[in-house]
Amino acid sequence: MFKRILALIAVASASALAVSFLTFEPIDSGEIGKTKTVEVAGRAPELICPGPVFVNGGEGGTKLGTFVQSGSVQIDGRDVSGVISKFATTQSKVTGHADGSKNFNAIQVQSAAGTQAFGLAAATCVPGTNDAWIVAGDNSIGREALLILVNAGAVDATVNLELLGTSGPIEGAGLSGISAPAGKTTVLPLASFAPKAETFALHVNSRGSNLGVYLQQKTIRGVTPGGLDLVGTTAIADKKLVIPGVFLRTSAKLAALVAADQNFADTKPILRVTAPGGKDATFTAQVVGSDGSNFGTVISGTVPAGSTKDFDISDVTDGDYAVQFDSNQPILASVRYSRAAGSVADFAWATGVSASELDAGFTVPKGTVSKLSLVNPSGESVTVKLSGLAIEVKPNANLVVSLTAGKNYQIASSGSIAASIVVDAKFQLAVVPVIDYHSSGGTLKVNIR
Amino acid sequence: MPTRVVVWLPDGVNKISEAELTEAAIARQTIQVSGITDDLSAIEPDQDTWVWILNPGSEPKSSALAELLAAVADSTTVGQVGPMQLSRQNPKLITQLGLSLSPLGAPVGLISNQLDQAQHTAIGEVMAVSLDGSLIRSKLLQAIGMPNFRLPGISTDLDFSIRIRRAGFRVLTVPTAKVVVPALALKDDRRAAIQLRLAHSPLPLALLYWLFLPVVTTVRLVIRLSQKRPGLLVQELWSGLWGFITIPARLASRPRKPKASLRSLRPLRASWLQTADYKRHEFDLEESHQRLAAFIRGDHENTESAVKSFADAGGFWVAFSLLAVSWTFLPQSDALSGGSLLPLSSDWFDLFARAGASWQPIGQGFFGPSDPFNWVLLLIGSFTFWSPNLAVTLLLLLSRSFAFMTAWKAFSLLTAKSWQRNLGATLYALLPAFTASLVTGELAAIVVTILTPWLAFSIARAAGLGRSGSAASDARTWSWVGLSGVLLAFVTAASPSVGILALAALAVAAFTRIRRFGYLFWIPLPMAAIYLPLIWYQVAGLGQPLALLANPTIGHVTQSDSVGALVDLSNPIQWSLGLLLVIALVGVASKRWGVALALAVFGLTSYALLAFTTSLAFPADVISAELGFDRVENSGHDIASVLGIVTIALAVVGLSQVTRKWVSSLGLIALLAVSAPLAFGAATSMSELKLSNGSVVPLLLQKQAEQGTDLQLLKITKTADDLRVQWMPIAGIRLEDANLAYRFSVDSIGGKREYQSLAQAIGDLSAANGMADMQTLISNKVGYILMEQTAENADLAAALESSPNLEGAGLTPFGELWRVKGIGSADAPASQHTPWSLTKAVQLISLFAFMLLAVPTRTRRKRAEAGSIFIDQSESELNV
Repeated sequence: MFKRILALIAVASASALAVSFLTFEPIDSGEIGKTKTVEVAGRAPELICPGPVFVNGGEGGTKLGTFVQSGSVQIDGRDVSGVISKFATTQSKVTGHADGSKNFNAIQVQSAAGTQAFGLAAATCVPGTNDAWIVAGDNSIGREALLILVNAGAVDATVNLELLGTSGPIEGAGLSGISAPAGKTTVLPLASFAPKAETFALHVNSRGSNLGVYLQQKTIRGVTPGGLDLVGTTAIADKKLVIPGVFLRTSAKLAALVAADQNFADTKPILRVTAPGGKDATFTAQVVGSDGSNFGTVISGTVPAGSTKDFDISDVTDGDYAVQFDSNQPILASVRYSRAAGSVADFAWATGVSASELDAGFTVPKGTVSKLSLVNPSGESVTVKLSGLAIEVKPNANLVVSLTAGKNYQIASSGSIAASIVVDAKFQLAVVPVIDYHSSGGTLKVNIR
Repeated sequence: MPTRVVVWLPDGVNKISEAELTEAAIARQTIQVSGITDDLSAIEPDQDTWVWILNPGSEPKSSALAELLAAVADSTTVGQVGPMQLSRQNPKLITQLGLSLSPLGAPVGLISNQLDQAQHTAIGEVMAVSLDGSLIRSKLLQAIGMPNFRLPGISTDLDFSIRIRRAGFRVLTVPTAKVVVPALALKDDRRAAIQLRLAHSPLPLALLYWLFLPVVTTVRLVIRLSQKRPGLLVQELWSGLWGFITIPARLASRPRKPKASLRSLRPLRASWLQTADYKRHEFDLEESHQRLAAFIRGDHENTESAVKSFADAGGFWVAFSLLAVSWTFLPQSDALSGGSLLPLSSDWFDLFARAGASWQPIGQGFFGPSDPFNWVLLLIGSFTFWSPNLAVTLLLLLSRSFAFMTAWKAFSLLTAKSWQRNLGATLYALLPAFTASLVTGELAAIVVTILTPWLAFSIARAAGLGRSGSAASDARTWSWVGLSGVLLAFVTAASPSVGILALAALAVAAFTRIRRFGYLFWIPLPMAAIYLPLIWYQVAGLGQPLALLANPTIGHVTQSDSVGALVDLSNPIQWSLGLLLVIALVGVASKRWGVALALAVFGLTSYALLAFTTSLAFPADVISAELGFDRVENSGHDIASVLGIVTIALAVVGLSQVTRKWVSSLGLIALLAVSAPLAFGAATSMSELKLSNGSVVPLLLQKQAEQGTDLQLLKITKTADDLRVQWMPIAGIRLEDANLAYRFSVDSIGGKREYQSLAQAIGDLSAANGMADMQTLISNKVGYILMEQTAENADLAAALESSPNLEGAGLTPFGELWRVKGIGSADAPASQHTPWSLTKAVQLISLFAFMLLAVPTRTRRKRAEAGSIFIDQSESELNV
């Protein structure tokens, strides 16, 4: 019995000691595969400019279904090797030598005053993308929304579209598998997918070469062209969103035009919000003035999941504004507003911009009156250096800086800043965001096994 | 009429009485021969002179010579007459009365091991007789020469008689002439058979036989193994080699100008019936010797009264119930993937090609030892050879039942009570570590959990340990040795750590049962055969001895929880394990405390090994590397199962000694209390495995691979810090392609120039800078690039999309696929890699041999049961 008890005590003690104290330091056995560090050059600096406005029926307007580019665009920009300044009558690829927008950027502008188009079409030339959202467009009577896909690359692209209307996704044939051949511009009238739809957003997803993606929106009232804009891609969906560059003017004149002709009703400013996710988005949008004299307004609303909704902001008086969103779900947004020029009006879509720590550059189009709208959505002051000029943007505030036409600017910020340029050419209006892209090379770790 | 007899006494001792010779009324001449070297050249050839050969130790009975002489008195055709040979140990026992050849040419004793009851009285015609005591016409010695004593074994006798027969004379047996001889055995009868066939078959047939002798020998080796007679293997091998090498000597021994062919002796050949009867006699004799030896050893002393069989104890019902616990593994598809599991190849021949192969289709192609675990995968896949993945799917469903059955067997070594076996085995099948292995598809740990108890049981049976004692039959013991060898090899292949524990246990068993050492010594042979190449590679080649402890599993196990889980009392299941531990500790204080103490020491050793092996971090496997891990640890589930069975065994040992009914009932309730939460945990654990059709690459690549091509695939994944690239054939990486040697060689392989230039090309492609050197991809036969479609990979996808050198091949279930322009299947035809190598052949032979050895021989088992005076009755109850 004694032996048995002794055995029990020995085993129990040894077990307790083993569990309590028996540990080993981690040991690495064997060498792991070495990760190779390779030096890679950045993407070749290239910018895609969409070229002049597309008109239906050719120059004479007699060839229906045929879209041709009308007139020419002025391209202004900067490269390390010098100033870019040229005219183009079709899409163009601008090749540079710098690896980011700070030293390589370009903007195209076309002021149309012809029989088929009137308005200012300005757009930043872009490096291209394969996934983009455009929150703009109107296909109601007299309104024409064209999707312009510029493939300046060497590889054909295949494009899939998604249209989110007021009642959700707009289904239709031909939305997928759209070919965008290499080196060509493909123009798609969105009316064929969403006829008479006044409110929608567009998601462009492509495989193949990166594309320059633009929406050309045009208004013709009766036979009179009355508004033109070239809308670029908007910022990615986010719960915090900023729309700089909402500079409302000529509200009284526009109201008079509306009173005289309801066909001008779409000159009232609206806020377009899209909820691309799977859940309804409830947001609050503060339309904030750039100085103390403008109070703007606050709008709260809900956008059903997968749909787009317009919100009226016509009660906002003239002034320089920016819109800051706070949403419970990621949203996309933009603002459309107009300006009257005599008996006609031009409009512009100010798109949402991602606030970021900027180290970018931009060029102000020649022959225009342009202003820079800077928004600081953060809770801390941000110092912006604009070509040497230091500007402090207070927390949750925006301000406007006048720009010199034809000048290249470099902009750097100490914190998150969203910026857009509002271009005015003889009461014709356009808003283009300042984009900050980099295509720098560097080192990359590659682990092969 | 014989007028003269020359009595040839090779030992020079005259044992023939004067009276006997006088009685025979013939003259006597004794030739003294010192050894069997000289011939009888002094004897003049004479029709009436006969030579009587008496070997040392042979003692003719009175009138033996007279009877022999009487048989040849009036015959001119008789060349040789042989007496009835009786055993010296038992002079009533006939050891030999005539020799012949079986239909297959083996020496056969026509009458042997019969009691002499005067049932044989008539003189008979036979093919041959033993030289000892036989009377030979002296004239023949001149014609056919002397007996060739240099021939092996009995062939001297047979050869001499056949030569007499072929010279046209007759050979007779005279049962009334009796000679007591020392124990006669047809020893070395294989060499004798070879000699006789080569010497007496027609020359073309003899040469053909010689040519096919290696094949014949191989077949005979297999047959010997299946007969559980490995002791004859060396003799078979040596005989075959001897016959093949010494062919000139065999041909030289062929008789010159014989009058008759061997074919003419066909009527004198033993029939199939006679041959079978002879062999049965021989086997009975051998077995009775073994039983007697076992009896003398006292092996029968451990044999207990009959206990309930697995079926009678309700084992099948419990096993069936455990299927219900495994309901989450009900097969809904041919294959499973996810967790630690990759599909196997759908082609059984691919599995066979990987097992033991030297060339591995990983990376740029890799020469190195195959994973020993591939043999296990081959075996598993062979059960449903038309769809190997199905076997894995079924294994997961049935594994708890299998674990229960093997554990039941193991516990039969410790207890005779059915409820203790049943409950103990059920607990084992429900252990949390086993459940964890199942839900993650950790195939190696599952195999270990199933096989370890079976291995313990078979080693114990081979060593004669445990409640049931040992197998008295030699064949049965060899069967256990064969089974133990195969199981040890498979367990070690699945978990080297458990293999070490098993080897330690085997060593202890061998030294405590030293008389069984001769059997147990062979058990590690197959394990050594399949593991030595890897040991050599890891230790001598890479200098990484600890690498041998890496489990052949895959899946990202970055931190083993096996040790921590054992003491994690926040989990209710751990409380039940705590209760089990208490019962086990009580078992240590039982009457069989010695056994319990040994088990406890083994358990503590296992725990120490578990703690050590889980502290080791090894280079990541194929799945883990893809997920961004550089190192992984062993899960520890394999050793945890060993700990589990030891703990349960301690509990069973304790309960088996309980005599009071209420204590026994308390033990029953306690074990039920332990098993209930474990069953709940097992039934509610959700599997991490996903249904799969067995594909690991897009169908396009799969079909192209089936056509045969060397095209390579790069599977790229972007992580936060780097790009992870898996370089593989377009057929993809399957479970059998996961290779331990490659894991530990990745560092050195990755330093090759090809890898560096490929990394640069991939980097340039991902940067979309248009500078990627596609020639690097093409020269390395990279035909496709695959990338999982995730948000993290979006930029990379865009970059690849924009490359003019890649062509999108679409979105597949495995991600986005691009084809590299400039290379196709035609540019990279499949290169042939033989699935064979010397090491593979050795491994296959050793495994096959031990498997053959492991298969029980039904007839012998029945025989053993019928005469079970010494044999454990439970031995044949379960052949799980």
